[in-house]
Amino acid sequence: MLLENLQLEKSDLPLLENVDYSPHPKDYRDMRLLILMIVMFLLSGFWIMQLVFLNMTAMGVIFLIWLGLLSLILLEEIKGFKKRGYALRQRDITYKKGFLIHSQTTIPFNRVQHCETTQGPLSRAFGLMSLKVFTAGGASSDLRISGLRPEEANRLKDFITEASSTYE
Amino acid sequence: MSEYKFEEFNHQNILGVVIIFAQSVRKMLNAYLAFFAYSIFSDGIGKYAWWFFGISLVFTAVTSVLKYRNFRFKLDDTQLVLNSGIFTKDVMNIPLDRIQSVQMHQNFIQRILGITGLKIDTAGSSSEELEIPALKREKAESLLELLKGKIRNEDLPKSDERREESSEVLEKKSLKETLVNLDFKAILVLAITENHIRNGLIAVAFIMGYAGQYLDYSEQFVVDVFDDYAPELVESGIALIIVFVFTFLFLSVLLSFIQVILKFFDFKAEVDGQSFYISSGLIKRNEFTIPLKKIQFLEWKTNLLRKRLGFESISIHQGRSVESAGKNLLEIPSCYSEQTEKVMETLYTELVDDDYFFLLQPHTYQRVFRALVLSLFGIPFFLIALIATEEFVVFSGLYLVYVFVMIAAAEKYYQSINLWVNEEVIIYERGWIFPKRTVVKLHKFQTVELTQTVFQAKRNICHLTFSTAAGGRSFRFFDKNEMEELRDFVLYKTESFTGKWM
Repeated sequence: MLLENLQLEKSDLPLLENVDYSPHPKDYRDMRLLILMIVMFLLSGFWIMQLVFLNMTAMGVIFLIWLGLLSLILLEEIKGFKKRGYALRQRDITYKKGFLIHSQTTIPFNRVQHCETTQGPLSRAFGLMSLKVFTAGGASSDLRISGLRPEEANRLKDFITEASSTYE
Repeated sequence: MSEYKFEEFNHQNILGVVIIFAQSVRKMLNAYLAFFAYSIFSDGIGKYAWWFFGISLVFTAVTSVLKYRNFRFKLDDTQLVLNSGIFTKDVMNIPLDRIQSVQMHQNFIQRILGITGLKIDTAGSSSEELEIPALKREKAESLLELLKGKIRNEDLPKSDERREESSEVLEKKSLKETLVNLDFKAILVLAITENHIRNGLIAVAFIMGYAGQYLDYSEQFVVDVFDDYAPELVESGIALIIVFVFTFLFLSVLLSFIQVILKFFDFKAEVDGQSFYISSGLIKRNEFTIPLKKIQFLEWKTNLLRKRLGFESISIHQGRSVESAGKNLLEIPSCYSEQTEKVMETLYTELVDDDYFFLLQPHTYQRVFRALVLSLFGIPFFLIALIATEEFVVFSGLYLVYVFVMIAAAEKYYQSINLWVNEEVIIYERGWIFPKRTVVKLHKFQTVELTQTVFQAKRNICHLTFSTAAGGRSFRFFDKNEMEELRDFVLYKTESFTGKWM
């Protein structure tokens, strides 16, 4: 018997809901907030420019829209950070994220093509690293987990590479 | 078949020079078209343009000969090797297990010369096209057979028990059966029932995009002409619109006919236990071989007219790299229910019986959301019309009618959504004007994503998106508990699958 393929009862299925997720280090939230602040600062130039061209009512409306967007983004960042986390199982990895739009992405190890770790200058300053898991279908089906401690990211990479090379 | 040897380096047929030359000239014309068009109409540099053109032609001829001389290929047990390049020598080694499919391919010139090109598709490789453009037909056929044989050998499982079993299966299934063979009448039916408006719009978009390249040159010309005729154009306003609409419709229908006849002339699809074989085309003749294992998923599509006549088309989605998106998409344009059944039986061996399926339907909130989105989508148009004409009552009334129609349409669409699951496949049906049915084997999944917005959390609804190596589909607005169970089931199936999947 090469392939075991027995009938499963619903209750026998391994449930993804029951796993524990590992959170990111707090530094990752700080880094995201810092990036947000930098983007806001850059956008404020655009904001000041409008001051010259528009009247007060239009300014007020735009300011309100802007404020609304900003508070939504902040809500997402602060509430959403607690929702982020990854979970390893014997045969797959799951990453969950998002408050307003929550998603859980799972990739089985036997569908992984390769994985890599990257570190930009900002994440180096925070002592963080990203892990990318590639599949065969192109960018839409890849997984990226940013904001991991370097040793953790590398351990994950080695584990996934090891696990995915036993298939083929 | 054995008169050709591929173990040592082979050259192409000598006529390959002509084909390489034709390809290069076409590339050159494409690149310089705007320049030539411009220089012919402007007096000063016209003469030099002809010189330039002549010299380029001679240069192209010389490089074609060199390209031909330097292009060599060989096939050994594990790989196909292509040598090419004039100044920079390229050696390309293609491991046989990376080859997705091999196609014979003839364009107009190749047809006249009695020469066949061989195209090789690899999984996830770069956008570089792997092609042996000029081989004698018999030689191409024998190389194709050899390649297919070798690829097939690698696919066979190693354990003896399996090999015996599969050779038995091979014997039983190695007879090719004709699946679809379109005669001219069938092609006409196909052409009449095309979605003409979509074809027309695509053509317009294509022409706009292509014209955009030469806009700099043609803009002045268009502006001049327009200025001359503008008063008449404005005067004949409404008549012009009607003429435009009719011309558009007429051209769209004409285009559908041309497209369908060019693409599906003498269409033939065959199937055995290993692969689909598809050949079609009037001027450009294509032959495809698609190993069944490499199919990621199938999608049946139809429209109201075709449904009436009882046939659907099947799109075959294979694994693809990002660059060649859509290139590997093949179509069987016309399939009646018995042919559909045949395909299902060939591809999906287990449990095709209806009893084993269980059925999921989306949450009723799906239609509310769809009706809402469709209604909101109409607002800008009606608002613009209202402001432009100031006919408040008329357009409010029309908008109300529009909203009711959209609610009815959303209801119809909601009724049409069905998600069938059994031990082997997921079947996702939806649509009533353009019904679609996606069939995917459970072990083809490579990413599964469950998404839920805060607003959906209360109602316990979510979306489930699956991706295969050929892209994915979303099941939207389903019950979260059911989707979680489906996800766990799909993951279990994928993770416990040990065979080849791509």
